[in-house]
Amino acid sequence: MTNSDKSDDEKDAVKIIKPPHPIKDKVSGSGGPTPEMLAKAQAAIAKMSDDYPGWAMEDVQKLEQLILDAKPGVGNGRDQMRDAFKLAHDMRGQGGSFGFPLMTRIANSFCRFVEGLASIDQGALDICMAHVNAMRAILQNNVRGTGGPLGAQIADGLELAVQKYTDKHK
Amino acid sequence: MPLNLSRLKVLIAEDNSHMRVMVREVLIHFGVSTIQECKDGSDALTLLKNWQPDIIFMDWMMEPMDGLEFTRTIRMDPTSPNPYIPIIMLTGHTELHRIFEARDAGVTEFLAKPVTANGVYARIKSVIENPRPFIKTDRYLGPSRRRRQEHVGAVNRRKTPPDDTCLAI
Repeated sequence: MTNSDKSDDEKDAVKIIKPPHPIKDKVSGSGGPTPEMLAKAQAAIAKMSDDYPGWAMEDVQKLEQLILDAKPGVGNGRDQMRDAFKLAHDMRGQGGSFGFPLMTRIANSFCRFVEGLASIDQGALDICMAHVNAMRAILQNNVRGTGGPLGAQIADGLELAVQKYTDKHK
Repeated sequence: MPLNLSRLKVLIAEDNSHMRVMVREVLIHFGVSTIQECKDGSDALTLLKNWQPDIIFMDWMMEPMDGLEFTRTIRMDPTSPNPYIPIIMLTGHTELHRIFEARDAGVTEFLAKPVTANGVYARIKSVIENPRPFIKTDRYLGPSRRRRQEHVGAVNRRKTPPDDTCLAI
């Protein structure tokens, strides 16, 4: 009997396997990390966060170039917007990891916007560029954390712009 | 007493060098001494031909081979060096459909970015202390997608598909 002759149930026949678990033999202990271990690990991350604005700015510049290269019309900037999404997606994960959660929030807003775009026009590109400008300002001013009331105001404004554009182009 | 991870071997596959270093530093401070790194899924497959880690930290979005394709390959390919190896997926994706996608590829744990030291430790601990049985069908090999097991003899009154959303996030 070939696979295509099988009923759906047979195709989906389930086998439960208890896999080998060699890690258990290699590891002793069972609790959480000691405060000292945790503090050292967090300090290592904090130390790396000092360099974050420098290398993240390179990504912001790449993002800016992609948006400048995206043109409504032929191809509709599809390649650039796909690459911009990937880049912003990475930035979304990195910002908070290195102590810049406002970057994460704005990159997230960018990703949500680009992901939902059926086509681009100048209005969409302007919104993308406003996100880039906000990211640049965060890095230039070394705005760590959520950025306080001003940071919230900037992020709220971008999210509102995205919402308005999306509602208008439903 | 904390976990003694000094004998663990860990592979980190992540295309961003800064994120890679960050995860490595956290692992070192938690006592892991044998760590290898690579930039994408195909590099990881090449590496695994000659070296067997105990756990893999795998980014999702990488090129040419992303974390999902790597996971499907390691689970389903007949030439896989170890289809049961625990894979902890690092990703900025937090949307539910993405989590389902990772789960359905055979990911063991899901660690959403931003990455924290606590998050890394918790996922390792879960892999060690809460191993799940593997499910094998024609289309899937990977950890059971149900975290909570129903007790034998339980009457299944469920009218909707099982809620498999309990991957650690």
